[in-house]
Amino acid sequence: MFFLQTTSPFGISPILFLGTLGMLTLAIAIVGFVIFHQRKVIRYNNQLKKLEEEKQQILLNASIRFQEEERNRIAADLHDDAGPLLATARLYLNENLVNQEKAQQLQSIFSAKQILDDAILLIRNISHSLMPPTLKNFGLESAATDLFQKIGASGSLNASARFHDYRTRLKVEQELLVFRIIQELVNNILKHSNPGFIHLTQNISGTKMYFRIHHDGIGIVQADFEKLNHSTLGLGLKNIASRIKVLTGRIFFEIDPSKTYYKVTIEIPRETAI
Amino acid sequence: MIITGFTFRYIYENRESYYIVIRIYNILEYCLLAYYFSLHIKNQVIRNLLLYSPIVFTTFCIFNFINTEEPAIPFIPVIVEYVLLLSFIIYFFFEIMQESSVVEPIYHRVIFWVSVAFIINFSGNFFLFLYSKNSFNNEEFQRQYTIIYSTVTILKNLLLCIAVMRKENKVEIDPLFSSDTHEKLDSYHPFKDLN
Repeated sequence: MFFLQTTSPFGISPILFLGTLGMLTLAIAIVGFVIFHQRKVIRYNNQLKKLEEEKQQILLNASIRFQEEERNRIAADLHDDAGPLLATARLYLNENLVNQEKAQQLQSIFSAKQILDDAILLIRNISHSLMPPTLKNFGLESAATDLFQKIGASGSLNASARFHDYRTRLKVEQELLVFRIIQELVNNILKHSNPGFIHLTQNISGTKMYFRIHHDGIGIVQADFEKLNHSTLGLGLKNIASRIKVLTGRIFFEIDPSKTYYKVTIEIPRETAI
Repeated sequence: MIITGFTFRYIYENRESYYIVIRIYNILEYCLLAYYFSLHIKNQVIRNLLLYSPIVFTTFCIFNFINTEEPAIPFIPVIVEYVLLLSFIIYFFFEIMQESSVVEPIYHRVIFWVSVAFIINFSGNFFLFLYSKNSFNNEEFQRQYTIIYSTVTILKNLLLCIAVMRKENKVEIDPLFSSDTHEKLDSYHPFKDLN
């Protein structure tokens, strides 16, 4: 009956009224659907963000654990190696030394001197492991080249480093962090990948600096890296991730399209040393 | 305002001029909206289509004007404009739905309210204009036309007011390793010497 009426209660033809209403409903439905879909995406993204925060917590814990392990190692080195050496030197230089014969005195002093030299060397090694002198004095380029030369000198694999544009040095803290990341990556590659070659390149682009490690061993891709980062395994990788975070940089693990070698690319903002 | 008022009154009373003004308004509206949406659509093909379609549309409008024997409201160009712009707005919404990294809800953006205003305007008036093509000379229909057209226009203007009042936060997302640095970093080819 309604459709047979010539005008609707609003004084508008029912066909015109329903047609317009139908079109408007359709338009509102489209807009509503877009909003509903976007809310779903936002909810999903928030969940991802929460997971990311959890990951950061794992990274932080790993970083703290790593620091503790490092402290323990230094403490053990000092306690087990430097401690006994110094104690032995003290034994040679006790009060009875003055009552001994001259030849024996000289022998004791010589032995104590040798032990002190060993202790100095040991402490220097510990200090170098904390802050490589090449890095401190000559910068990241020299330190990285030195590291790769030492690896290459072993003769078991081909290792080299090439810096394309490192005329301006990064800040000392940045250099140390990048060096530690490179060291950790190289250690991981040597330990797990069994590579035939390992090569480092560096370049800059705009406000960013890039480092890339190529190797032909058994590597990982980004998905593996993310997976290991979320798991309780892979302390070294978590350290890399936390150092990258401190540098406000990014890291990308990939396999070359030729599938013959792997690439690890690090991107960091350039903050040059004044 | 008084001069503008008198000018519009003169134009409205002089029906031929009034229809020409509607045609010009029709072309300008299409050109401006096509340009505005081209700024927000990411697909290059659709963007180019939006940028170059005003030329085709203007040609079509001129052709329609020349071929119209009696001066009348240009319903066909208006319907064509509505269909085209509705398609582009729906495509814009489709692109929005494709976005996976949503930073803020779409209703915080100006473009959303502009799109909603025009999708309501076009869909609300679309059926009316289709119907008007044959019944516009009927006085009863003209009354109904005024009611629907005015309601939809008020709704559109309200939505445009919301769009104008919105403040946007621009977020720039930097793509991962998108620079030509790849080339430079890959300058080392491990198997180059072996081949």
